[in-house]
Amino acid sequence: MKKVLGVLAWAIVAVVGGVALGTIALHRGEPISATWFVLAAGCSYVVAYRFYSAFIAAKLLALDNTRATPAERREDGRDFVPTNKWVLFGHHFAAIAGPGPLVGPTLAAQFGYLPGTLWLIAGAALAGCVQDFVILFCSIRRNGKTLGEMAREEVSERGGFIAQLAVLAIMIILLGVVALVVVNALKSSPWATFTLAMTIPIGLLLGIYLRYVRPGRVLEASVMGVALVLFVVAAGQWVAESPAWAKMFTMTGVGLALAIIAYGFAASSLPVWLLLAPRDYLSAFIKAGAIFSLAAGILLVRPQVLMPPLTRFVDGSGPVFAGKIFPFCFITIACGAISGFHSLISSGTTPKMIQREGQARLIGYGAMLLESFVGVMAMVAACAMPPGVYFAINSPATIVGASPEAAAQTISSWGYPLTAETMTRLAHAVGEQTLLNRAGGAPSLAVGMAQNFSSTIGGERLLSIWYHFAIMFEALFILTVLDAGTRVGRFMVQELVGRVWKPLGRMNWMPAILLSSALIVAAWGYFLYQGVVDPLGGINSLWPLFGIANQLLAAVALVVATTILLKMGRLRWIWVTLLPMTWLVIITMTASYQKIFSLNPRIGFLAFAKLLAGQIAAGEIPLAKIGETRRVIFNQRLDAVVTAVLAGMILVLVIEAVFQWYAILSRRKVAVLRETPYVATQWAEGD
Amino acid sequence: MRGLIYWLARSGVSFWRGVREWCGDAAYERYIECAMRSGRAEPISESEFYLEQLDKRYSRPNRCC
Repeated sequence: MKKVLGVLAWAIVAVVGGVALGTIALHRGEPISATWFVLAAGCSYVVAYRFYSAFIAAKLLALDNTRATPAERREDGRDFVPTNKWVLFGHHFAAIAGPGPLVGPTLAAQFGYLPGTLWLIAGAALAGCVQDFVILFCSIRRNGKTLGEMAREEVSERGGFIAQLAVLAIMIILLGVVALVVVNALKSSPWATFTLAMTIPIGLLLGIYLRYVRPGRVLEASVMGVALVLFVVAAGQWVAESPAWAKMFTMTGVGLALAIIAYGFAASSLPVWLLLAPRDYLSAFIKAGAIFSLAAGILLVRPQVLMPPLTRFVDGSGPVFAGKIFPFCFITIACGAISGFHSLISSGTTPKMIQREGQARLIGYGAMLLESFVGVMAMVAACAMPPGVYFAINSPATIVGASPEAAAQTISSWGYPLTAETMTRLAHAVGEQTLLNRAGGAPSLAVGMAQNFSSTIGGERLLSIWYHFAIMFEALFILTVLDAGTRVGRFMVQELVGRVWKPLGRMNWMPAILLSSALIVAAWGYFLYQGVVDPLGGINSLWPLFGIANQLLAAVALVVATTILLKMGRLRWIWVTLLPMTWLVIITMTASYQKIFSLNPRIGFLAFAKLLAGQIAAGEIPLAKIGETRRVIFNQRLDAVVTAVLAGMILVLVIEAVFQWYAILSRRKVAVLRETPYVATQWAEGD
Repeated sequence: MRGLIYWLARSGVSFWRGVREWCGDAAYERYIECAMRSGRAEPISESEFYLEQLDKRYSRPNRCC
């Protein structure tokens, strides 16, 4: 009887999910309630978790709860710490949830809500969660080894080197892009700039408290910090209203870029306890609160989604970024569906803290499902605003014009009605001078979140506070990725230059620290500056580059996973990792080819460089702008080279792996698996 | 009623313990427990432990995009 009820309950969940998916896919003409998105995503996720992840756990990985994990065998209270599965789930989720699932879906909303939502749900269940889960399992079976180490041992030396290079490349591009998102969110906004600037002294204060007053008391310090941050969010309004203060905190894109570069350098060079760690704690608490509030707000308000399922920009002519749904929707969504970066977390601290192999399913597969749900919520928040407003915020001035009147006319001509007054009134309501041309996704997401929050608490009166809270949350969140990433990048650079001259590899030698910090900051700072001066808004060229780099790392992870599974003799089920890997290789290679060679100057880097060079030759560029235009031409060519190198790395790795697989399958090579030997757990079942 | 209060109190304690573990407040206690159990070496101070943990955490990718 119990079994029948169970089957019936799962059948109902599956049918509800199917109906919800069908509704959002087939709905045309009228706005649609966000409830359908929540139902479609929620039901699909629970079905995927219950059945697909259970299938992977049982058939593909054969998880074994009698086998001692590294946390049990090597427990030392420092690196190897057995941790409660729900606490570890929280840790893992906090580490994998970055700005990507918020920004990517917001940008991909230009195609309409349908392609992005479907890829978020299907991509997570069939690719992203699988990657995180399998890599976590592989790392647990290898004493918590990193992806690079596993690639070196299980694929080849070259595979390991490519993985290392891919991590550094993705880090540099990622930091440049996310910094650009912050610049576009803070540009000409004294309120937002003041709020974010104040989080630095708050961070320093908490750092000193945690180091000297109450060492390691993160909870109490974070509570104080969150209270101070909320105060400065409100105080930002006074700054914006004071002419003298507002002038001081009103910055241009270039000014903000230089300030962020200086901040990144400082955060990487200063002791970690002083600025980086306390801001990270603050960010973790605010992130947890804001993501929970975003989801709760959407569930409570259940807004109408005003964006059509498919917009006219599916043809590749979109103003936010150019390119057709295939492959650019998949490249743009990135982390909400699959993120190569997650494989670094899954082979980082998590495998050293897990108590049982069986918990890898909840933590590896489950946490990624939750991240994808955050992506769906971001998609809903972006699509709940009128399409005209969405395009006005996210399109560069070179396409829609810089004034509200010009933007309204252009966007209305696309079939998305918009009046200049709407934009002026909205900017005023959220306490900004303008919301036009704020490419990058953060401001439009903040408007969506603020409208949601204010519908729940405070109404129109608190819209500006909510908007700036959302901007502060996004910027704080992103800067945490930026400073932590810069520091890790610094370590990688030190490791590399230390091979040339040993003292440069010493982690506590100040000249080495300063030099390597300067190198890594210069690398991502260049991409940031390039984005700020790009006439198309920067996001147009840099976000796809980031997507390609991120998916490259995912391809590396899936190649490693497939090789290990093959060595384990799981040929029958190899499609579980092989299919997502093949799909990723296809989309990254197609996107790379189009970004380099497309004849459309809005897509192809080389075509755009050629167009600008032609304009200079024809004398169409004013003399004063020739230097700037030459820089843009150089940047476009550089982006083409970077894309080609990334694509080349994928090809080398895949070819290398295919040879390896052929040798194993044809028995020309003995499959040597580098797993740690079986040790039975000493813990009782309930431990 | 008494059962409900007991359940609420127990859930509250578990939740509080989970939050302390999640944010790292309980890390030093765990370390001391482990050091006592193994009896391998003299445990380091709370302040040293805090710095050591931070240095380790921020020397490898620990935040995703």
